[in-house]
Amino acid sequence: MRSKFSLMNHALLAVWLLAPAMSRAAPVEKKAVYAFVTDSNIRQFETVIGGFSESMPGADIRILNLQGKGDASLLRKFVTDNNPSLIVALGSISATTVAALDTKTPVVFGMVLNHRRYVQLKKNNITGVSMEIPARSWLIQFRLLFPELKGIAVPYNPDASVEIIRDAEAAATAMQIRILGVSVADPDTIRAKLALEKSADYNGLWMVADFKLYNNDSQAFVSLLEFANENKKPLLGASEAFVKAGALFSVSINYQSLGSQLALVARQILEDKTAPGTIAVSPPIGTYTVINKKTGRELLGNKFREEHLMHADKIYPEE
Amino acid sequence: MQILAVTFSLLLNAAALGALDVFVFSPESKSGQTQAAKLSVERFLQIEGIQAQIHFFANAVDFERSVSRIKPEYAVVASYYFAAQGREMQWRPLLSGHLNGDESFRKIFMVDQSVAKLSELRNKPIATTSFGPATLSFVNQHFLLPVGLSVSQVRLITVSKDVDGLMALAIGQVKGAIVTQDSIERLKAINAAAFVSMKELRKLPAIAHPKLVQFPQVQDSTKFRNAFRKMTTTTEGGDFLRFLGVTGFQ
Repeated sequence: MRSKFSLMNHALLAVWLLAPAMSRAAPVEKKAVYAFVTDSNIRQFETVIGGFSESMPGADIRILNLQGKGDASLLRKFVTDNNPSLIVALGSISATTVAALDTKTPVVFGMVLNHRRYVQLKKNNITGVSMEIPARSWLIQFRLLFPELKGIAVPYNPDASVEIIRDAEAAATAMQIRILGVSVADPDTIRAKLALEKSADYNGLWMVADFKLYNNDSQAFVSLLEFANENKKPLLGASEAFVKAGALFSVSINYQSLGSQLALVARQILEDKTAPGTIAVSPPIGTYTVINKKTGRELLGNKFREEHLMHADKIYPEE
Repeated sequence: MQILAVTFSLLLNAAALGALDVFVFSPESKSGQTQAAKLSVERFLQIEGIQAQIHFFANAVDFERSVSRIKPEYAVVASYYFAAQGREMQWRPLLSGHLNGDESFRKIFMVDQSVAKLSELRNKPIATTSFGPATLSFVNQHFLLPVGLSVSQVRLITVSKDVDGLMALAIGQVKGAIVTQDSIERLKAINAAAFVSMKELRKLPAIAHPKLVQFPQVQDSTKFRNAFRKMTTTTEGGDFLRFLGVTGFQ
């Protein structure tokens, strides 16, 4: 016991002696304040902030929830009160409201769907992480799950998803996968259009997030799922909800990883002193893979390798 | 009606009193699969004639607090936690998790082709799978210190799957990725071109899979141990094994 106190006394003495020298050598820097501005209080925003904190333990984080309204005066007060070193804007309402604030405080945005359509985000003090998973990530995970994958039929609305098909074709060429874009202007004709294609040309189906094709007023997903099951073609769903409904798997953004990636960008700005405007908006690194094991077993039989479930972030049915 | 509800609740409590309490603390496991894992192992044990309540913990503090409150009979814990706390908790190891027979896994430090020296990784982004709240300390101790780096010298980005880290490395979003050999082989088999821009820097020290342990008050663990030994990925209990990243216990 005595030795422990003695050790502590020595340590305190050392700190006391060194303190003036340390303060001369390195002036105490103000601790960075990270202001998170969110559109609402949904769980995904919390997960992103959790991922950020995990990568930056002890970070001084202040949060403002805009509750669905682009309230500039509320934001201005929050910023004045907290004087943040950097603002992380989560969601399109937050990002556009923050973008209108000033041009001095660095801003990193996340969870903004199709960020390119927001011209307000093209400023020197703003950068971010996009929501769009690169086509190669989808294709790689599809092939990991189903190595026999040779061709994928992708129904799409020509007014909404031409760009996605183009990106997919470019990524697929390198992996020797054929992308068969199936143009479907009327959602009710999805089955008929697919039936027109030669079945031997593709052995997988991909449901892209095309809101003109798949929406509350259309039965396109149900038709696509039935077609997939009847023809024994594994279906990559647009999100977890469609996997729960019977698609084989989905690949979406991993919000925990997104938080970690935003922390990385924040460090580039604050520690490396890189101007936000010179940091390209990057695609998300982390993905969240959901697999429907029942579909896998029914559709692929022995070819469905159970070890793939080890790499899933979530498995349906939950039982 | 109220009397019935009270009686039912008492019956439930009585049943729970007779059940074994099993704690699970494995931060590297897939957090999204906790519910499926819990149901899966409880059902499996029930089939084996064992009533058990499984409690999952996200951090060591909650785990330790609950140990003194609930006094569990068994626990499945990450190997590093077993090494750190085994003596103090007076745990007796019963079985070790394994992946197709291997009781440990090894990570590989992959880096961008341009990296010639470790010092070049300073302040550079490195991808690693998440180990929950313990990520920074775990990665520091097991992956970075053995190669002469520390967590304060690099910038970690956490992902849930090795393949994400490898793809980020392939397209230059990170300078390094800490991944398993298995993930390298799986990706190489379907997309060898992704490896042109990267190389193996170092094989990292092996890490054991989670362990099944018993607390000191347990008299006879034979039945419980035998049940755990029978669990496979294709039987009830499979979701629990997948949650832990193992194919069985031996």
